[in-house]
Amino acid sequence: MLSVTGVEKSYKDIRALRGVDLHVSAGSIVSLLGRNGAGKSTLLSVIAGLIKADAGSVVVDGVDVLAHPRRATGLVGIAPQSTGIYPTLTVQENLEFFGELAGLKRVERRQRAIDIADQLGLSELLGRKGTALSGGEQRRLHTGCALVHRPKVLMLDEPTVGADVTTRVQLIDAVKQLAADGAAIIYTTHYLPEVEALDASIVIIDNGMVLASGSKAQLMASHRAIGLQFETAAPLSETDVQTLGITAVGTKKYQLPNENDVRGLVHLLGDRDVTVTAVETIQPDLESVFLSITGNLLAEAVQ
Amino acid sequence: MTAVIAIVKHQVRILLRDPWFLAIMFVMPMVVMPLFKRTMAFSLQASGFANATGAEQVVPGQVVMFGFFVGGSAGFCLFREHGWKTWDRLRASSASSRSLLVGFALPWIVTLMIFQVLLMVAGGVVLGLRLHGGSPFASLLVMFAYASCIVTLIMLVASTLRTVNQVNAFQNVGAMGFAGLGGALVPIAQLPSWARLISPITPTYWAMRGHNAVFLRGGGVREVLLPTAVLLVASGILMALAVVRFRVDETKQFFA
Repeated sequence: MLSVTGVEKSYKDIRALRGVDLHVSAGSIVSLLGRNGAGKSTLLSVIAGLIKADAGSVVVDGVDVLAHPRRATGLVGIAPQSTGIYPTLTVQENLEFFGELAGLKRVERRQRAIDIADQLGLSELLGRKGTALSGGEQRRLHTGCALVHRPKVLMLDEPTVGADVTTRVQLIDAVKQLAADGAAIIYTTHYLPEVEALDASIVIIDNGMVLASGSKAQLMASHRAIGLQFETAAPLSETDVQTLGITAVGTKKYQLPNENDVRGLVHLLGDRDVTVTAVETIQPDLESVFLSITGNLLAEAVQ
Repeated sequence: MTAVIAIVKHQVRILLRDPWFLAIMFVMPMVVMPLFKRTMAFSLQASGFANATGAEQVVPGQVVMFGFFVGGSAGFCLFREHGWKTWDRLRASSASSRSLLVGFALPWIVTLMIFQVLLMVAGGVVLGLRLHGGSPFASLLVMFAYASCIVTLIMLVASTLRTVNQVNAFQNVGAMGFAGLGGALVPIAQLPSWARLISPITPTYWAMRGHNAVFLRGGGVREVLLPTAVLLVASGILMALAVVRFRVDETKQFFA
């Protein structure tokens, strides 16, 4: 459904995307993971035709987005990171406007607005203005506006940022339903439990490059690197952290990114007369996989 | 075309959600007009229009000046989309940049047209503005041409400027400056010679010239053809420049 090949994009001296490849088939969900500035939003903007790539190709359902961006607009839906709704219009008017813009007839867009509101838990709010909605409700409406024209490729850029638990659950259920209906979905998030809840394929992007991709099980199998976390009596210097090849995850808490180095680490800590107050093994999870691949914890990378 | 219609309807819907803006713009000139009617009567009489009541100058003058304020608001719409974070959504839709520009401009041309007509009628009822044999159709032609010219000028300005404050400044300075230079505040004949020399570069001058032809000289369509044509040709040029200048991927800053 979506095929991104060798996409490059630079802003003056900054290379935002460096030969990105991404393939999403119909009915599947791909979760794009990466720290802020990794290139996720730029990639989504290129796919949506909002930004022109310097090189590469983006094909949606057989249409070359870079060559014919207008032809692809009906095939792609995007809910950008910032909530964008019309505050003086009602939920129904917001949804219907984007349907009308996509060329849906009056009866069809009205029905679509009702269906989407139902899907996102906004049915009771169809007549309410955007200004009168809570943050979570606005977020759901924002996402809903991207769905009205039944896009074949749907891109949701951090749809649950600032959302309450109810909104998260409703959005995730809606996304799963859309995938079940055949849409190809790209979902960027910093909340790893969401990735697991969506049962999404994972693509890890950093510095404009795809560093790893696959299912959660595949990534865990190939990057089960972190095995040790320890705490010291006093904080280590940055030089020590670098020399020891460890990652600081707290003021006195560190993780070893390669379990094979435990012996070397113990020697080095002994040489420096460091008092270790606690040691624990870490079961690999998505966070540790992300750390292993990028050298950063996702939670920290967001800040 | 579908996108243009959708955007036009959408703009009208948003405009109607805040009718107070137009209401205030309507009331203000109605307050100002009576204050200057008597002075304008003397002024027109001194210029050779012995039977002038002053309404022939003050009503079209205020219509033209406040029309610029109303038309100038068209520029805010582009910036408002950035403030509401909906601009990228519009860009990601099937609407081309040209459709967006036309879709934003059209409702304001119609709005400004209706605004001028209502204000002229109110000026007739309250201040006794009469056609004196002039053609109402000719007056409508002038108002339509002026509305087109102002809205397309603002579209070009909004396409070029980066912040809504800059557009706001242009709207205020433009409305007052053009009104002064173009003969909307005082009759053109009363302006200093240097001002008379440059006043034809303002749309206000051509609008007032058209209105003067109808309300002071009892003119018809033929008498307003030149000012109407000048305003319409200017509209075409301004819109073409706006389309060329308009960059959908340019960041605009709404009020912080």
